Amino acid sequence: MSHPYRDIPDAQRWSRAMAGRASNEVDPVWPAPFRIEPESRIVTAGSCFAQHVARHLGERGRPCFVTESAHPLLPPSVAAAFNYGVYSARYGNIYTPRQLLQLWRRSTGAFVPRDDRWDQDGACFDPFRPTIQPGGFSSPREYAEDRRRHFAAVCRAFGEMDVFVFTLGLTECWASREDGAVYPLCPGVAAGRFEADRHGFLNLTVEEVVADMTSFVTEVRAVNPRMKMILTVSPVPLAATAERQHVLAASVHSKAVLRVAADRLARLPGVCYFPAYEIIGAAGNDYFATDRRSVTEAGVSRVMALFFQHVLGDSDGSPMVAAGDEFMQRSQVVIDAWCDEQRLDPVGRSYQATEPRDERH
Amino acid sequence: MPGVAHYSLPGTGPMLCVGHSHVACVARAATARGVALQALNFWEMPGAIERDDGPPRFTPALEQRLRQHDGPLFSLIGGAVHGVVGMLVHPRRFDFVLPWEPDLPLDPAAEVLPALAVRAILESLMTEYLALMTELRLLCRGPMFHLEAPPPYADAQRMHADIPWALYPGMCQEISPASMRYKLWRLHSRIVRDWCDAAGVTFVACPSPAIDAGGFLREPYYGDGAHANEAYGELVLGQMRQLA
Repeated sequence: MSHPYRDIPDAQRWSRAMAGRASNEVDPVWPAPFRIEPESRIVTAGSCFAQHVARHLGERGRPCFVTESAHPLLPPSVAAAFNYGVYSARYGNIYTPRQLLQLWRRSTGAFVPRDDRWDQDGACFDPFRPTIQPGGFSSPREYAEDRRRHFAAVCRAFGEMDVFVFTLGLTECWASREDGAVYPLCPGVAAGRFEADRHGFLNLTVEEVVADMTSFVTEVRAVNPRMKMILTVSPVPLAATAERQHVLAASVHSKAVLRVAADRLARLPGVCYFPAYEIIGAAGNDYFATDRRSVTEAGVSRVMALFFQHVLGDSDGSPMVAAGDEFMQRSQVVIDAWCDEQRLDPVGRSYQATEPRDERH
Repeated sequence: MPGVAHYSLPGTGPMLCVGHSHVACVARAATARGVALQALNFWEMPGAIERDDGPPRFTPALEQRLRQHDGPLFSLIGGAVHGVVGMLVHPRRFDFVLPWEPDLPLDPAAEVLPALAVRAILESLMTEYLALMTELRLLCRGPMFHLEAPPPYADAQRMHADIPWALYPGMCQEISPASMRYKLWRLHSRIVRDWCDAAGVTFVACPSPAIDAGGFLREPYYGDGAHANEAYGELVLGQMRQLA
């Protein structure tokens, strides 16, 4: 008897694709409509899981297209603390599609939120990047200068990228009641002050997620028509919910919305979905830490191994090693030698009043 | 302790000044004026500082000598890190906003780094010097004073003539804008001052007659671009004598 399931590939049948398989044998990736070429400029963004994606790309020899890099004088630990090198530009985590669209519009000047700056404890904080650097910005001028450079870096990253890997993280967010500007973190959590009459809660629907992402794709492609996009849904559950329900239920709802939205968005030309959420979720405890929320390194590695296999092709896997700052080393030598001249200087060396003065003085 | 007796001032006075290259101008001034001063310049004392796996330490002999000093101790330790970071223009030009003087000029061609990041750069290079100052504080029985490093000189053209460029092929030969060098010096001094406040050490700002209205080293006190001269050392010596 013939029926539609008779000759389906193994990947479409649970008993063959899933049953009895270890977590690291499950491969739910469907052939992507496009592959990332070796010379492609890759930009990543999204929720915290996106950080793993960016890091693994770099470690495996395919670093992201960076338009706001750390100055080479910064020690690696300082660069990390100031959120350099996490993403292509220093935008921090982008949890919702609305935040992504807003970043693009702010960078191009199409949207200027009224909530411009939070002054607190002698420092300035960016309402839309409140944790981008420890202690905030030291002065309003530093904040303005940094943001100007940051926006230019975002425009360049989005305007020149070939492939955008975006991890959808949350549907819940807080917005200004004045102009709808959305915050990555509720005001008052990391900086700023929560005011119920000024800040409202949003839980985006499938339609809103699709609309925001579609607007983003449309607007970016207006300046960068070649941009392709790979969507993922973060497998990391919500840390907390503002909905009056259990955090697990709220988390499942949020991920379901994002997953459905991703499916609809993947029907757009040049957009595809990569099942990171499914790879981690199907593994149960194998890929989650004991807090049932943090994805283990083994889980991230499995996701990225499949990403490389199906989307990027082979890689030599060699890690990228940052070079030390040659300027600093040479400058140290110069200054040391210069200071050493104070020793070699015969006047300074013997401290004899009768010796001749240094003619250079 | 080889080297110490040979290089220190003849005679033993109540004042002891230890540090690096900025000690030299003070020592010269003391010699010229006949002021009793023990000056220990670590650049002249190879082996005086031991570097094992832990923080740098003075040799036991030098420790003993420092412990025996009853009077005030003056530190001119370090004082060149701001020059290392920014005397010359970095190939990737940078600048920063000094938090407490935010209206100072910015290099229009430079990228603006967070001031806290620049502070972290300086601190990373000052680790050894601050460790030595900590060691000094523990060793000295009397009061301890740290003398601020001299401010930068504004005229880059004059500095340019004093730098032995030929010794350093390939180095960028552009001196950083004066405001940038001034800001780095101020930030460097702030780090040292903060350390002094926490350690119970008196931070002594550089002598005001040596500073012009813009905060730069006045011309009569110019040394070699990285250091002040003997006339400046005499002003510092005056500060020390008042404090001793």
